[in-house]
Amino acid sequence: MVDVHLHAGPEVLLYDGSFEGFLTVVFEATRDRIEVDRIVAKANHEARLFEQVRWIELKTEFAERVWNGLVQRAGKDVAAMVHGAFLSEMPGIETALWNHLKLVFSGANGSLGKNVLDVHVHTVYAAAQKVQHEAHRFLGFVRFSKAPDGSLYSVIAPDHNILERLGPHFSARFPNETWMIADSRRGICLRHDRGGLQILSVDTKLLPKDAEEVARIGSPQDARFRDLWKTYYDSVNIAQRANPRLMASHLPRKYWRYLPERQGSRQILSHHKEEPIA
Amino acid sequence: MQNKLQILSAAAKYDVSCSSSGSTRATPNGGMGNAAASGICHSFTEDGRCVSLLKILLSNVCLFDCAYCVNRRSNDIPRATFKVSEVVDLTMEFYKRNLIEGLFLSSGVFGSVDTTMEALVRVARTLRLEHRFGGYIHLKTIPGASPELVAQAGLYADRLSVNIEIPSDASLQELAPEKNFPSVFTPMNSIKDQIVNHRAERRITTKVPSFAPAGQTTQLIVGASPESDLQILKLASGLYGQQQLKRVYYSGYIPVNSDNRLPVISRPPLRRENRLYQADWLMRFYHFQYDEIVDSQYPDLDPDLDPKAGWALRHPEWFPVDVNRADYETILRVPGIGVKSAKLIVQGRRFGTVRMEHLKRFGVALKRARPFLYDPHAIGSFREVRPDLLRPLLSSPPESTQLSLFSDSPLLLTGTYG
Ligand code: SF4
Repeated sequence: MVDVHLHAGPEVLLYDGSFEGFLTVVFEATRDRIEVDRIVAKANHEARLFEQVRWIELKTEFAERVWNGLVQRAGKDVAAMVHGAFLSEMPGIETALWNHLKLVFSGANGSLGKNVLDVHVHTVYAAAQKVQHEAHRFLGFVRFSKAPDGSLYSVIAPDHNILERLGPHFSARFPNETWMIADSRRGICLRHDRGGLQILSVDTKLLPKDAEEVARIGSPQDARFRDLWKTYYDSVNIAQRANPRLMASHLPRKYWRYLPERQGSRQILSHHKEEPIA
Repeated sequence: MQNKLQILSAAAKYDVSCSSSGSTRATPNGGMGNAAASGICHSFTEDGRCVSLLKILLSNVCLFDCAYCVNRRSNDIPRATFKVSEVVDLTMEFYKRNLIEGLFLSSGVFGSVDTTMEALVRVARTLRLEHRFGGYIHLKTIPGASPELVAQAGLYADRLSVNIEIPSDASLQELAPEKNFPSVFTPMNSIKDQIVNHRAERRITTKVPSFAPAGQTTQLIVGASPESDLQILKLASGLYGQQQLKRVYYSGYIPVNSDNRLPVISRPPLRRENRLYQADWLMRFYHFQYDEIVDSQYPDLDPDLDPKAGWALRHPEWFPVDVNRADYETILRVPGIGVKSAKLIVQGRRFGTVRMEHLKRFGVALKRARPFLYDPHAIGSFREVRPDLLRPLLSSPPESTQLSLFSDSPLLLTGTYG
């Protein structure tokens, strides 16, 4: 069954913003030979004059078919790269991914998905690298506070949607603890207990806005270790080697908000100017 | 506790090693913590250094009198000593809050060398056996410690290190009367042998415990004694080859004592330190030999030129390089091309011709690289490299390649060192 189009020409395809939703778009656009202008999450869509817009509803079955096809054709590495690039949430990434996936599915084999000379492939590759890099950084930058009931609680505000990428690391590291990491930018929360790992949605307004608000959830015992940590942080610094620029390049200001050791007077330097998603 | 922590972490800060990489360990049953092979930085101090481990001294009381050290016996400073349980608690509580990857424990020599070493081992043993702690442990080996204690240390620690500090035997003896090269190299060699033996046995049966799986490292202080970069890099190269060290750290000398055996300087030699790291990087990841980087004619690294550019200018016969044909190692030798971009070039050229526009996208520093590249499509591309014309173009203050300080792998770096 093919939809009848009144207007020919490239279309803007809207989806729900989820990875599965995006894969469904890929499936339907391929099946129906839709000429794609761009693919945008509905929430990010800014209508332009005279554009043709089509909404595509998530269908798990289609999404799975695209994913399995991708893994089979191009291998796990390329599939992981596609997913990673998607999580970057960079403007236009879905359209770059669409062009990349067309290459993967068009060639004699999936190897064209690795052709970094192609501008779309390189965009996807670079976006996936960014996500991997930020996810790696947050393995270190997550700060747990211990609530009175013993559970561990953390809030982060990453540029990219990396929360799910943190799950395996922290589950392996703290298998016997109950812990939560909330992303205050996206209103999602990764929760782990002995029963396993879940991603829940939370109201961003209810989440602590900075390290100080996170600290209020902690027990008095927790405050003691936070103070010890700050003492430690300050005393391992070597004043004769002062290099705040180098520090800020490794630990960008946009991440200071939830780091107890970067609060107080230092915050004055930091609290304006959020860096845009690069 | 605040006070003790302050004294004993400030006293440990001059050891620049902080890496938490090189080990993979699953979380022990019913316990907490594992080791991530690639190493993780939890914060960065104002000096731009990575905070990965809780780096402290067990005690800053010391029987020795090394001229370059704050903790030497002749200094009149506040002294403190942790109880074993205090270090263990601090490690566990910091770890639980994800502030650290683990513990890096060192100490001044109190009681005797073996008393000190025994206490260090006890901390590690308590963490591993009583708390089922699976995180990273780096133990300092005190020069002269008994082989039995070193053998135990390796069973609990991921990494061991014996610091050489002063890069020649004569200077070491002059500045540290209680130390000499044999007192450093004996434990180092014995650690190496045990690592090699355990690894061999583990290939037969995994029942054999692993021994310092993240290997051993050392530190050299640069600028406290008169050794040239050639002497330092030759020593480092031997340490990588013979002692099979994982890392050699270079620490620009920072005066903490006034002592007429030491030079008077106004600023620590950070630029020299950085050039040494770049040279070290070339040896570990770019397949350079130390004597390609410095030799008897040029025994010191050029402060104004990164060592790779320096090498390239002395070797115009290698260039221009055609990135579409040259092998990976040769591409890596081009100034402005780093590990990441070299990999992309090799990957990309399977699909077509790699052009300048691709190189730019791959993160190659074209301004530096271009004169060394053969480009048949560009008009006016150099066919011959003219060092005299290129030198000013390549001179640069050291870039912030200090990331290399903390990572054992170049692929995790954001910036690439070209
Ligand atoms: S033995 Fe170590 S702590 Fe003691 S004075 Fe020498 S360098 Fe300092």
